[in-house]
Amino acid sequence: MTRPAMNEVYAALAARARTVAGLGTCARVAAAASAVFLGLAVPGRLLGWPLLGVPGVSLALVAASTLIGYLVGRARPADLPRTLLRADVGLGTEARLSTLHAIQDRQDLAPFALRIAAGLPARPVSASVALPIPRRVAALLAVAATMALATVIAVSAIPRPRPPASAAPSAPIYVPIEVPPRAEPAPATASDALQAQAARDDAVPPAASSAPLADASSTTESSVAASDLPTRPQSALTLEETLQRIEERVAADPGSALSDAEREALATWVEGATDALAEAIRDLLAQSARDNTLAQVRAVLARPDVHASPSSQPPAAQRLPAPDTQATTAGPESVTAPSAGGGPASGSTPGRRGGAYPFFDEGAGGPTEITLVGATLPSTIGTAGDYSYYVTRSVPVEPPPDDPATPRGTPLALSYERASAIAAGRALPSDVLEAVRAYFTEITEGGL
Amino acid sequence: MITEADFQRASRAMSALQQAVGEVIVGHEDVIRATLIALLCRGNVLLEGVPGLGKTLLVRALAHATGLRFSRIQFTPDLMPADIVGTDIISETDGRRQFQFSPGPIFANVVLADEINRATPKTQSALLEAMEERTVTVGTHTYALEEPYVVLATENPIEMEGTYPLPEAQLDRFMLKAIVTFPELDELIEIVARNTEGEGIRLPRTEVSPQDVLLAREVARQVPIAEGMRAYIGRLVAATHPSSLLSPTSVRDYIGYGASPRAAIALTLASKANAFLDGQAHVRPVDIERLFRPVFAHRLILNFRGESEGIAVDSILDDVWKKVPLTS
Repeated sequence: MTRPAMNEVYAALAARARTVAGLGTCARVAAAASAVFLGLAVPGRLLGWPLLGVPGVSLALVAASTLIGYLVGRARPADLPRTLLRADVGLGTEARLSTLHAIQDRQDLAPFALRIAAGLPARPVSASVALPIPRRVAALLAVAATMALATVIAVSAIPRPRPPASAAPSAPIYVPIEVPPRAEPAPATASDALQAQAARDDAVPPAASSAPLADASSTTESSVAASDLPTRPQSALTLEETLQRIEERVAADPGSALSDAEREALATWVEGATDALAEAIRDLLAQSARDNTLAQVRAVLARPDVHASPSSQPPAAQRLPAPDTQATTAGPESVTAPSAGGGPASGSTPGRRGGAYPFFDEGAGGPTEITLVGATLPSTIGTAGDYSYYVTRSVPVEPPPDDPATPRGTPLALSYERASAIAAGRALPSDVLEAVRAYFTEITEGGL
Repeated sequence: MITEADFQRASRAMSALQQAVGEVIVGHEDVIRATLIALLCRGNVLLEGVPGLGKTLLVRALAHATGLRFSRIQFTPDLMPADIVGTDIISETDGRRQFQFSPGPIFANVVLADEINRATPKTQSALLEAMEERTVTVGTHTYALEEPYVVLATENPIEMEGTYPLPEAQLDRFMLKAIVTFPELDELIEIVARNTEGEGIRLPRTEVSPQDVLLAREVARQVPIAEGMRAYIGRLVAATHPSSLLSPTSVRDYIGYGASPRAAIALTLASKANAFLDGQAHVRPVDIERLFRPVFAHRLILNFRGESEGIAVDSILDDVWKKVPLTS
């Protein structure tokens, strides 16, 4: 084989070596990129990441990385001595090609070169046979391709997550109930409501009439204006109640100081209070020693001007968390009905929002601004206690008579006689009536 | 510059030499090949085997076939260095007395150092300069040894009592270590026949001249080797070192010291000579494979753990061979 012919062989083998090197780098990059693709695309899909969750994008990134890896690997010059030795192994020429290359410029070794060249096969050297793609590279490429394909399939099978809440309108947590103004419809008295209920019951099929009390709550509640339900929003707390709640909480948690909410609630009472009361409240707000908080609260609570201030409604809505046992000490005379000015009964603002309870801070504004306050209800409220926390849609509550003579804020006394009259008017079975009676006994007397 | 005629002449001479020695020595092809390789590479061979296996006969046959001067030194504990290298003696010439150097048996072409491990280290070290430098220094004079020169030393692996194991530095100066094994049954029968029939063992005719040996040396040294093969040899040597990343676990566990750069040189030259003896014009992977163990076997020093567990160096060399691929 002449020297030009050998140079052609060397060039072909070098090109082949660069291709194989490119494939080797490409295989490693492809495997790594596929692994990264697998690691990021699936969670990206689940979490809704903008790019990685899209199979096409990730696959394109893998393909681009693989191509770059191939080009980078192929760009490196081939290590010709090593390449030729590999070719010798591939061709079975026992290091003849590599030795010939090593002595091609050594004229003094011409006899050796001739002998070595004579031992080469006469057929043209096939570069692909001399330098086959290593099994490791082929296996790595196959693994990478399989991994990428499997990931694409897996990612495609995963449904895209819904857009985040901020991007799409969300369902309101509750829908305010449009309540007609208090002045327009005359709220029914107990007897009127009973008559109206009886009249509606005539049109109700017997099966519906005999349904449990809870099932009939909608019809019962429809006879009562929502604004008249005996709710107790915290914005309607009196100063006395506010102080009582603070007292109870501090007593339950000795050593605790006023919370920010409590301070804020008390601060609203400074305005409009008498000078002495305002001074006492300020002193309480300025109290920092925890040991004296309870005594200071009780001192303010003991002031007579705290009790005798029905007009001491704070100018702004209060936000005071309900204490654990807040209803135990609140007498019926202290229950204040929602005011016409800013209370929940005024205008279209509902006093009770579709199943919501007084724990909701109704002064919070938007439907998403809801403050949930945990509370432990008293086991017994007595015959005249604050039962508002027990009122649900299923409890037939008779509103107070809409008599102009009835002062605003008259507490709603829960009477079993009234409830039983409604139940009797609806021809409820005796066992249901007994269940109603047991319920009332439970919440008014602490159990049978 | 080596010509094709030189190559052919040297190749023919070596073939004749192999055939001549082979006619005397039954079997032991590897040992014969090792001695020829050492002769071609200016090397020395350590022959290990029990007495009576024909080691001395092999050396004598080699020397006789090449027309080289042969000497045999029986190493004993009371052997002194001067007994080997020679000494200055007083001689009288024309009424004048003067010191005259009387060369020892080391001054030959083929030296058989029989049972070298029986001599004291001091005497053993007298061979160091001759083996490596091809010179002998006596007093203030340095005498060059005649080429071709080769030392063939024997060791008896059985009788270790009263012996002085060769120090590592001296072991490294032996290019190859050949194990002289017990002959096969048919070879044994042939040996008996040759020694008991007719005229007995006859040394071979002188087939080649010392000049032919020197030419063959030059040709063998010029046998080309590819860069990749040279790198392969380098990786093999590196893999015998415990600290090398190429070394197998057994090397890291049981080897205290790996092969020296002299081992890489020896393996390269021995591979060239082996290829030449096979009539090839370049070093092949098979040449390296054939000489790997003879070159490395006596150069790996076991550590305490390897010694205590009785690890065989050959098994470690197998691990090295498997661990290092020809093409990386």
